[in-house]
Amino acid sequence: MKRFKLYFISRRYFYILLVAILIILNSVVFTSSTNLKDVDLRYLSGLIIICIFCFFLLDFSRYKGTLLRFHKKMTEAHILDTQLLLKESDMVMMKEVIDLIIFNYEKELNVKDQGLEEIEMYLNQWIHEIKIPIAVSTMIADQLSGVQKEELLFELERIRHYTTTALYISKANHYESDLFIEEMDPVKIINEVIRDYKIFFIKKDISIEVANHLSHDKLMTDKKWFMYIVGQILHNSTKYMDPSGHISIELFSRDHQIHIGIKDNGIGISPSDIGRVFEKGFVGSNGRLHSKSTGMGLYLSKKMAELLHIRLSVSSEQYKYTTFTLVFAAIDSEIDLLKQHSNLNISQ
Amino acid sequence: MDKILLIEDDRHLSIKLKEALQKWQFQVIIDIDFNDCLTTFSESYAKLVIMDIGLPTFDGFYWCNKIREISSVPILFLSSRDSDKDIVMAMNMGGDDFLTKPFSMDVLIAKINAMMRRAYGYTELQEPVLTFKGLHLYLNRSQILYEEVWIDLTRNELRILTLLLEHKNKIVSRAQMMRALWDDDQFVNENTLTVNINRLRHKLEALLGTDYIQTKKGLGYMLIE
Repeated sequence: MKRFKLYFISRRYFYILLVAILIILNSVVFTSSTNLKDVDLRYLSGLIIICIFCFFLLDFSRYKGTLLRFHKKMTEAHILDTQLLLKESDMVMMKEVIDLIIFNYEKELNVKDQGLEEIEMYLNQWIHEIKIPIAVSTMIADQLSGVQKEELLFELERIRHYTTTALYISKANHYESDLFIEEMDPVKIINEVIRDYKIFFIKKDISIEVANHLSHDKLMTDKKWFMYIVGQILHNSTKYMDPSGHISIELFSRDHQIHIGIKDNGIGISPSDIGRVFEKGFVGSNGRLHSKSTGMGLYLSKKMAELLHIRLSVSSEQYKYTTFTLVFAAIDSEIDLLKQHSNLNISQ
Repeated sequence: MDKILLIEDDRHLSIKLKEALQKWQFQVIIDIDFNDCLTTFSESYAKLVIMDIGLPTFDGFYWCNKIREISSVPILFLSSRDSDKDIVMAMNMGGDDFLTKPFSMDVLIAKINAMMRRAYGYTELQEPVLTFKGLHLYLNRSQILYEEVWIDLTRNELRILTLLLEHKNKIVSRAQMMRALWDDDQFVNENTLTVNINRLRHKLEALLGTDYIQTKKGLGYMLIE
C-alpha cells in the first residue's frame, strides 16, 4: 500500500492532467454540435481509460523496480560509491521519495511531540497541585495521636516520595534547562536527604552513620539531582533491609576524586542480578519478592549521574551488604563539565 | 499576639495553617481580597506575611513587590514550586525566605520565629528557658539548673527533654521523639533512644529525687506537672 501511495504522490500531476484532459475532451465533444453518438463517446472514453490503466500497470511495475533497487542500494551500499552513480531522472525521483518520507515522518513526530508536551505540562502542574492536599493532610495527621497518626504519616510520606519521583522523571527529558551546577557541602546535603526520608528509616528502626573523611567540604554538582540520586539509593536500601539494620555513609577522597559510599546491611543483590540493577524497568528477584518496584528510580539515577560526570556503581554480597558508590569527577574534568554545559546557569 | 497575614488561595490549607499557627500564639488573617492584597495587608497591621506564588489575578511575586514599596515586613514564600528560578525570583522581589510545600510544621515555625527575631530583634536578649517544678532548662547552653546545681545534657538528652517540656501533661510518642532526633541530624535507632531516655531519667532523678518521666505503655512518655 505504501508503494502505491508513494507512486501516486510522485506521479500526481501527471494523473491529474490525464483526468483533466479526459473531462475536457468529454465535455467539449458533448457540448459541440458534432454528430457523434453517445455510444461513440462512451467508447472513446473507455478506450482512453484502458490506455491509462495499461500505462499505469507498466509504469508502476517499473517504478516498483526502481524503488526496490534504490532501497537496496541505499541500505546495503555506500551512497558515495561511484558504481552507484544514478541517472539524473533517478536522482530526482530518489529525492522525491526521501523528501516525502521525511515530510511524513516530521508530521508524525510533530503530532507526537505536541502530545508529549501537553502530558508533561499537565503532569508538572498536577504534581504541584497534589502537594497542597498532601500538606493539608500532614497537618491533619499531626493533630491525631497514637498508632494511627504514625501510620498515616508514613503513608503520606510514601505519596510524597512517589510524586517526587514522578516529577523528576518528567524533568529528566529536558534536564538541560534545569541543571544548576554550584558548590555545596556534601554532608549537609546528605543529611538533608536523610531528614527527607526519615520516616522510612524510623519505621524500620534503621540507624545511619555519616562518616566524613574529606579534608574540605566542597563539591561541585547539581544539588537537586544529587539529592535525587542519594534519595533513590537510600529509599532502595530501606526496601530491602530487615528491621534494625544499619546504613553507613562514607565520604573520602582518592586520586583527587570525591567518593561517597552508601553501604547497607540488607539482603544484598544476587550475582545474576547485580549487572542489571541500573537497567530501565529491571525489578530483579528482590523487587519481585519484597515490594512493588517500577525499576525507574535507579535507572534514572544512573542516567543523570552520567550526565553530571558522576560514576555510580554497585557492589554486593548476597544476604550481607550492598554498597552504592558515587565517584565525582576530579576538579579539572569538572571544569570540562562546566564548559560542556556552558549554556547552563552556573554559580560559584 | 503577633499577627500573620496568610496570602494563600487554597482554603483547606489556609484554615489548617491558621489552626496550627494559633497553637503557637499567632493571630492569623486568612480572609484576603485577591484583587487587592495590598489593602488587605495595610489594613491588617501584620508583623509577617506568608505568601503563596500561584494566586488568582496577580501572582505572589507581584504582591510581594507591591508590599515592598510600602513596607519592610518579613515575607516568607510558601509554594509548591521549587525550581531555582522561582526561589531566585522570590528573593529578587523582596522575599526573605522560601519554603516548599509539603512542609513540616516544625520547620515553618522555626523559620517564622527566626524571621521575627531578625526583623524585630526580640527574644534575642533573653535566653530561651523552659521550666518544670523549679527546674530550668537552658536550651542554648544545653544545661539544666536546679537549686543552684548545673548539669550538662547531651545533644540527644536535650532534644528529648525539650520535647517533653514543650508538651507538658501530654503524651509524647517514641516516634515523635525519633523524628525530632532525626531532624537534629541524629540518625539513631530505637535502642539508642531507650538508652538516652534512661540516662535522662537518672540525671533527673539524681537532681529532683523523683523520676518524673512517666512511661505510657505502647503510647510514649509524659511529664506531669
